[in-house]
Amino acid sequence: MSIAAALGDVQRDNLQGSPQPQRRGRFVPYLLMLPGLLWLGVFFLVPLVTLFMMSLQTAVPGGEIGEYEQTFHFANYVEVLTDPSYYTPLFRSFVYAACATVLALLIGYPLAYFIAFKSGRFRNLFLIMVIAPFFVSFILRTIAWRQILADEGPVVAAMKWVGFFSDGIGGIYPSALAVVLGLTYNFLPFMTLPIYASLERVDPKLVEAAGDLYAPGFTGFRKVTLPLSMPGVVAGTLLTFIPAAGDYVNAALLGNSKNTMIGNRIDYAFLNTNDYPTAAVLSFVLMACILAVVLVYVRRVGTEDLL
Amino acid sequence: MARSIDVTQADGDLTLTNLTKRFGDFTAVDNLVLTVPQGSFFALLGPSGCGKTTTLRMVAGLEEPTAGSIAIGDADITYSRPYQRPVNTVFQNYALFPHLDIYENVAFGLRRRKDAEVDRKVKEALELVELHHVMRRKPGQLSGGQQQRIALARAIVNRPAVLLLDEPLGALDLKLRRQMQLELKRIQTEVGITFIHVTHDQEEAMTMADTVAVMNAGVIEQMGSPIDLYESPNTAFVANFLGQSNLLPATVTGTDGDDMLLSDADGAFRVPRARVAPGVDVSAGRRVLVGVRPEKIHAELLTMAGDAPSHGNFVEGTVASALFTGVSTQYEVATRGGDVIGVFVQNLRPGAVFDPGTAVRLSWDAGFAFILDGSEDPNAGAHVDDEAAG
Repeated sequence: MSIAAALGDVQRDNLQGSPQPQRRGRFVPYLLMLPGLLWLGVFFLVPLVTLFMMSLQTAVPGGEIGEYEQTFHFANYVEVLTDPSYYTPLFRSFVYAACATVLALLIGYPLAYFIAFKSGRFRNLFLIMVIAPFFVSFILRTIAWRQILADEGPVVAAMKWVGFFSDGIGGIYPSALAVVLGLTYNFLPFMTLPIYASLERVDPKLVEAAGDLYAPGFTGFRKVTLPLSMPGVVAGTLLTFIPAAGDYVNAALLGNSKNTMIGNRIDYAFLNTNDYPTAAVLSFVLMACILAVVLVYVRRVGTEDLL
Repeated sequence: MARSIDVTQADGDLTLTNLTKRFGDFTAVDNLVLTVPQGSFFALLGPSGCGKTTTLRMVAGLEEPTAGSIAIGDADITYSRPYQRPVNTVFQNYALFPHLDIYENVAFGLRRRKDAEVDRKVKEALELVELHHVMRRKPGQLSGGQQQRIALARAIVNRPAVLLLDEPLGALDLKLRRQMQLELKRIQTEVGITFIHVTHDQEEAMTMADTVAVMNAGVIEQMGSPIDLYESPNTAFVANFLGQSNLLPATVTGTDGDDMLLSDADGAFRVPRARVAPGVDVSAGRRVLVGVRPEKIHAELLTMAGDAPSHGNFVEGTVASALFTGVSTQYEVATRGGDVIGVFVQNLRPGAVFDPGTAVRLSWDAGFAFILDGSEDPNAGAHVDDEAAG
């Protein structure tokens, strides 16, 4: 009797107890999302709205330089979009970023492949080496590239020795090439690490299976390893292309006036002429262009994981 | 390897000659000699680390032998690249390409070889494994059993001379495994390709294979049909690894016609001379192991038993433990002479289970016992690691 009674109690307790955790459970997912939403709000949404409001401001009549009032002057956009002097830097930004992305992919993919499959017990060491440059300031590293690419530097000397440059003419810094090389160098880890992450997940058994099914060596790579690493390639190219298109440090430090990127124009408008609305408008134009390019790219590459 | 024979078209028996593989100081496969007849279902059975997977990988071309040779028919394939050999593998955990759909997975090998009839062959292979309806799905959307069958179709569609199966059913649950065993056997009979099946599961090997080779420490302990191996094991390892055996140390006392006479602390036994494992010295006075399978032993209540059977082959003892498993009851009986004998009694009548402590008499037909070398460890192979081989 006592056992049955005890069991009955347990059951009743369970029945009473069960709805409560369920009711609490309904809010748990939202609670868990809260930190992420807050982060997005504070660090993405608020600055974006502020910047957008700024892009609609107009100068205070008779005010000082850099004094603006909040209006909704959409003509700011028309003004910028009809000014041909912005076209070349914008175009240049995308060409430089695209070149740097391709170069970074050509260097980063083999590097990631080597680390993932061939580095053996030194794998972690190589990974640290990929990240190690981050311990030195971005600006300092870029300035160091001036030395490397300078006319008296090792690269030019080597090229002269090979006979690529004759004495007197030729040089790398400052030039478009130097800017692209700088961009490539600075964003290489952003290319390498995502590719490494997706290569590392490729089961070596699949490569063996490809070899067994008449796809040895490079064919096996092309048919199995490469497709399976595409999510990493897409992530790496986006992580390289997007910041590279908006970069201005490399163009400022490794280029000359003929290598101005749109980032430099935004920088100039913000800090030199204090033309905040124009700078904000340019930022939005850049953002829209990048978004368009990225959308087309992701559609074309078509990885289901991203869209 | 300049040979006139095109290895990719090789056909015939698979022959391994003095095949050896060493990893540093460790000899994984030791001077293996083996012929697998064309069209047979052959199982390499052994505990993990016995060298069976290494042997398979050498046949597949994924591992290069340290010494020896591998041939299919007249063609030497010892050093051929994996894709050059008429050999395909069903990998452990299948290794299906996750980015390709089922159709493309099966078509993979055909497309690489520029086969002219990809579509027909792929559909035939999918028909064979009864999975044509999933051909546009990705491997991740299939159950384990379905993935297993696709892996099989992907290999078979290339019509290799030899198909290698590396622990093919290891990842499936028991029920599915039983079902797939029948399925694999059906498919093998249908396509007539030589199947070489590597497994640590003795039941799997015995139910499917025509010939089973039991491997231990890099060498083949014994090879034969499942019935031969089970009924007439040649070594203690085989006797214990395939099913269970009672191996009782005994001394040869003499002969009586075609029978050997033996004795141990529990009494006298009689075993036909034909049941002596090859190479075992059975001259009078030698120590040997008398083996009896637990299910071959008859147990009866000592109080109900009549006179001791005149043929010998009986021992008396007390039930130490009784394990009811449904189909049978498994007893451990402690004999008066100090041995522990396992006995499986089929549950023919309900409620007829002996309690521990019951005095029983065990007896068996002389022809059901076998004799092994007395120098062997009676427990060899009894408690080997049951996990999948690495």
